[in-house]
Amino acid sequence: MQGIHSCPAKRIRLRRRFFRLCCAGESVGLAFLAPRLDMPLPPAPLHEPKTAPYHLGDLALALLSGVLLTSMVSLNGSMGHATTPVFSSVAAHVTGTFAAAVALVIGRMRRRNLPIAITPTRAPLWAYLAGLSGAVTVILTSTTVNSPLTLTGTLALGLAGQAGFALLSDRFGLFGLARRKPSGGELAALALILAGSSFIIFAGAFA
Amino acid sequence: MLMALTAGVLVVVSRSVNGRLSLSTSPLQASFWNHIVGAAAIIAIAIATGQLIPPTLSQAPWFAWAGGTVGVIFIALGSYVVARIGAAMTAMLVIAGQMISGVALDVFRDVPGPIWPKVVGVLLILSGMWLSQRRRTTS
Repeated sequence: MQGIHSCPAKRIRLRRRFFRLCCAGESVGLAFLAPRLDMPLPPAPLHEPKTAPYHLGDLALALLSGVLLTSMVSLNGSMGHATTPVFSSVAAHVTGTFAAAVALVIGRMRRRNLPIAITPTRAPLWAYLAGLSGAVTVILTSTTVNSPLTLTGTLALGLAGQAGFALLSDRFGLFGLARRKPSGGELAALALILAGSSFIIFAGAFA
Repeated sequence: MLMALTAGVLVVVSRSVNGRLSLSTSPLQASFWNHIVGAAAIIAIAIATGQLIPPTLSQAPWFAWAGGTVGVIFIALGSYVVARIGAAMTAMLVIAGQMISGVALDVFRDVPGPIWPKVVGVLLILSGMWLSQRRRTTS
């Protein structure tokens, strides 16, 4: 098995190239997305049973954000490796705040007449507090990764928690979003994706 | 174990809450608020546990500082998408994207270990994605 590993110098070069690619893609992405993502969403079918078909573009964006998540976890992981998991979260949140502020300002300079929110309601105060839940997540996962669960267990249980609670949240329209009933095909798709993820997460166990 | 499950639940909570905020403002603003509130919370935690300025900070490579900016796009996209296709569909596609690109990254970096479980996993995920969008999409 050792023959397939390239020499360390080459691996480091590849790694560097990968991260440089990430950073370049990130700047381009932010410049491109800033004006487009800084406008209110079209009127969402709040509390309307979900029957309308999905737009392929929306599904593609969800997939893209999963890819971004991999590069984010990998970048934050190098920070956490050099320092501590909590500090890597501090760094990510502080730099993220600046990046978002810059993107907002640039987006507004390029597009003067901002559309006004179509949804007549103002956002409730709790809607501003999503960041708290993100901070708690960091604490929970950095604890469980170092527990007998290790990274594998943390990932697997995290996925289970996500899938279960997402279904619950759609079913009851929690957090002011539209109520949706998943179709049989979607439930089967979720099961397939979770099964596939388990294969990948537990790949080490097949060695 | 309960903690790991809760972490998963909280991922969905924060995405949906951000989605609600972007209904009234915009996904990018939701991402901004998410980061500034999160920064305040995590700085408080870091001060409480004495890790605000770790001594090994200078060892961090420069690109490690780029994760936060990727996170801004990630949160903004998530808030946009969750309000339009729902929490379950978003969670399943984000997981799919993460797993597939994770395997690609592993292959790229020559991570040791058997490859076939990963290939099986990716195939299962792709078939799930195909099933999820069948008959329900318009372009």
